[in-house]
Amino acid sequence: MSAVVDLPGVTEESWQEEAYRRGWGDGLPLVAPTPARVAAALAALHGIDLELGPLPPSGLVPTRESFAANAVMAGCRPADLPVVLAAVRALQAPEYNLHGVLATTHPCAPMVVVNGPVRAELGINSGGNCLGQGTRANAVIGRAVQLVATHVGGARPGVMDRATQGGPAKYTFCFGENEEESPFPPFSVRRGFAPGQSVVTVAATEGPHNVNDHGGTTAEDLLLTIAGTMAQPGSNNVYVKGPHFLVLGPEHAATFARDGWTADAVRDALWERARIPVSRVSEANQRQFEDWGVVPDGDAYTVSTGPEMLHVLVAGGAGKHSAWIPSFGATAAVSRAVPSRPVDRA
Amino acid sequence: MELERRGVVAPLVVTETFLPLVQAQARARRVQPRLLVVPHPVGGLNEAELAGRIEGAAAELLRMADEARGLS
Amino acid sequence: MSTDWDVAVVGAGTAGLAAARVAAERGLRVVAYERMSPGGQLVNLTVLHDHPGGTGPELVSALTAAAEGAGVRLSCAEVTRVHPGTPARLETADGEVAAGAVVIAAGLSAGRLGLPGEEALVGRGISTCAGCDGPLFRGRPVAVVGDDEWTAEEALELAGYASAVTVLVPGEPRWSAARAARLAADERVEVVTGAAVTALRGEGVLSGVVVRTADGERELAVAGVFPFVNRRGPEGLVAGLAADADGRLVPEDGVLVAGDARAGAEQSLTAAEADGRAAGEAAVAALAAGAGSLRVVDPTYGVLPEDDAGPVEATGSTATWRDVALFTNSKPNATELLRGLGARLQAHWELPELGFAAKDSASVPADPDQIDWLSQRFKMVLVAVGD
Ligand SMILES: Cc1cc2nc3c(=O)[nH]c(=O)nc-3n(C[C@H](O)[C@H](O)[C@H](O)COP(=O)(O)OP(=O)(O)OC[C@H]3O[C@@H](n4cnc5c(N)ncnc54)[C@H](O)[C@@H]3O)c2cc1C
Repeated sequence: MSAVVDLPGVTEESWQEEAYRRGWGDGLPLVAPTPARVAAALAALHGIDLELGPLPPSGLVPTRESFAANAVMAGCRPADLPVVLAAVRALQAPEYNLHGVLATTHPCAPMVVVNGPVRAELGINSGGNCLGQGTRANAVIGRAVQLVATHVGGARPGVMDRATQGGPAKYTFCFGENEEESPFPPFSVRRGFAPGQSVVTVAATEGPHNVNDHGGTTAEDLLLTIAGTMAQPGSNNVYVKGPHFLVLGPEHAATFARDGWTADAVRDALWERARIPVSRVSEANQRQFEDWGVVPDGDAYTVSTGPEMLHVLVAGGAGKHSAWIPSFGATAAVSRAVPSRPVDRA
Repeated sequence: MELERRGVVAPLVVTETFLPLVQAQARARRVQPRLLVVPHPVGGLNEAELAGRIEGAAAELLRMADEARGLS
Repeated sequence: MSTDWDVAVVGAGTAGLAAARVAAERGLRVVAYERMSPGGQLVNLTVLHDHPGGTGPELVSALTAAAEGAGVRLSCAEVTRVHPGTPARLETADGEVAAGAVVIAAGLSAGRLGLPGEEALVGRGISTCAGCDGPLFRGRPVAVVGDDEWTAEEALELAGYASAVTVLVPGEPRWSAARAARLAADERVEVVTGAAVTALRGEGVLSGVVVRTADGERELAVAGVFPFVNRRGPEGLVAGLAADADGRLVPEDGVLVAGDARAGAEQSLTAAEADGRAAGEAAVAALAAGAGSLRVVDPTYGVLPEDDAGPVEATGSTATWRDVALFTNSKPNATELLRGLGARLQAHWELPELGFAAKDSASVPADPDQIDWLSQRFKMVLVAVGD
């Protein structure tokens, strides 16, 4: 099978049908990855090496062309490719556990968080409705990452992707951190990257779970609500542990900052306070947890293994909402710098 | 599958639903796994149902084991 | 253009399977209709001459597997009529279908003498398959009717069973000097040229034939006769398409004909295969040339990494067949299932005990240390995977 296929009798109009018939895509309309579009997309990589390895479960390594074809199909503009590439590289880190993520019955999706100047360059939304619809860059970058994994990795829903129900985040899940309105240093900087550097962080997560607190006026008030939202017995983070994310809306974040809280302080407090009373877990499930080596800390279960497992960031616009994003558990937050054009040698 | 690469006879007990996945992994690793396929699901079965799964797969396992050992 | 198939192939013999495979490999939706059994004439062949590789049955399975592997759908139905056009319409035993391109690879009919009472004796003395029916005539005389290379080979094959083989050549033989020499060297074979079979003898089963030569008519007592003459092409199958004197089709714009069914075909396996491939390519090209062919980069394409690991030898393992372990992925009931199965094996091999290991979590790959330990200590490990 070659990298370029002729689809005889197929036109741009009938292409959608043809793509669905071949089992390509995610159910939404796709841009046909013609060689010309793929070449234009690849040009934006300026000769940057993909540096990609085999994708499970197929074990195939994407070529430059097939990588770019997926970005094109997702609707990416050429300039979006470096961000997609950084995200796919991050998915391949062993600690991300792509194999487990693709094959699991859990509804996790590749969440993509973007920091740095590339957000403005590409128009990646980190403000109002950034976790929702309506922004091209967010929509197509998240979608492209998922398509590469599905197509080249071969994790087709129902065949290799064994999700019991899946979740809407599996269509696309990409947003920027609202560094401009965050009282904390950028998430990427707290993870060791230089200020001003464009960075992508991925993890296999559920879609966001809203934390609504309109009444609270202090950090303590908010912590009570957030901790209560996180302390639920049905998430993978209770027994598989692993990373989870608190995406504070800027107004909630401002309340914490005004009361003198840093991001780490928020995280530490939530580790102490987000506890699941044993009484809220059935005895059968308690036994199952125990089989897996998970025992309560006193009379309550913890969410994950320690405060450092909770990643706190800021995104969104006006309003009194934040989001908690639980994960698959057997995954990690993995960050990669967005590759830039190799320095021209004089 | 890693075990088979090291010369250990390692039959994989897998449910029908997961068979395609396991086969794809095997293709990726270029190995031909020994597969013992049982009906899905296994989780959530009561004791009698589980006994049925064991009964159903036992003969094939013994055949596979004897064959690997050179007894058949 | 709305079609059921991009390419429909009539006949799944050597030529049809090759054409179908080529088109399917290019990503087209391809169906191959077969009214008897895939392989066509090959099914009747044991040893293959002038062709590299294998026996008839081996080649049948290889060609069928290759076609199906490429995505060809084999349909057990007869095509009764083909109407060329854009799209082409095919009347089949399963109803009518539309296809962007059609390849006719229907081969030739079985050989026949064209005599009264002949059909009733097929299988009762009349056969066209030396490989299949030769053994039935062990120690008895048979006749072979024909003039080509394959007639000669069939006669030689029959000489391995029959007491005598009379090869009746209607005019002069067309076979090669080498085959002529092998026929001459076989004392059971007699070649009679300028011979016509004028009548069949026998009540219920064949007992002989009447042969006319320049010397006049004579009775030839035979238990079997193998006619390889009057094999006809699929004349009339395609509306409006001309045929030669043998009923073999003359390809015309928009109608592809491949293999023995094509006028002027060489009638050999190698030629049929090449002809089929060419027809497949031509179908692809014809469709691509048709209105609106889209070329895209395959988004599923990838390359397998070089196999750097390769099988690793069990280094320093002292394990014997008494060392058997269970390795669970810790999913609910997985351990119970393994223990149940393990107990059966333990009883069967009278093992004193079974080893046991558990993956920390079902969701992550196994710990390399655990794999090391298992491969050092055990000869056999029963592993639970998936939910
Ligand atoms: C006795 C004999 C021995 C031979 N030995 C050799 C040899 O040793 N070496 C060699 O190279 N060649 C040999 N040949 C020649 C070789 O077998 C043929 O050239 C070759 O098999 C032709 O392949 P084909 O695909 O064109 O036709 P076929 O193999 O005849 O296939 C045609 C297929 O089409 C099907 N079909 C026909 N009409 C319809 C319809 N309307 N609908 C659906 N299906 C249909 C038929 O059932 C058949 O399966 C021999 C031939 C004969 C007769």
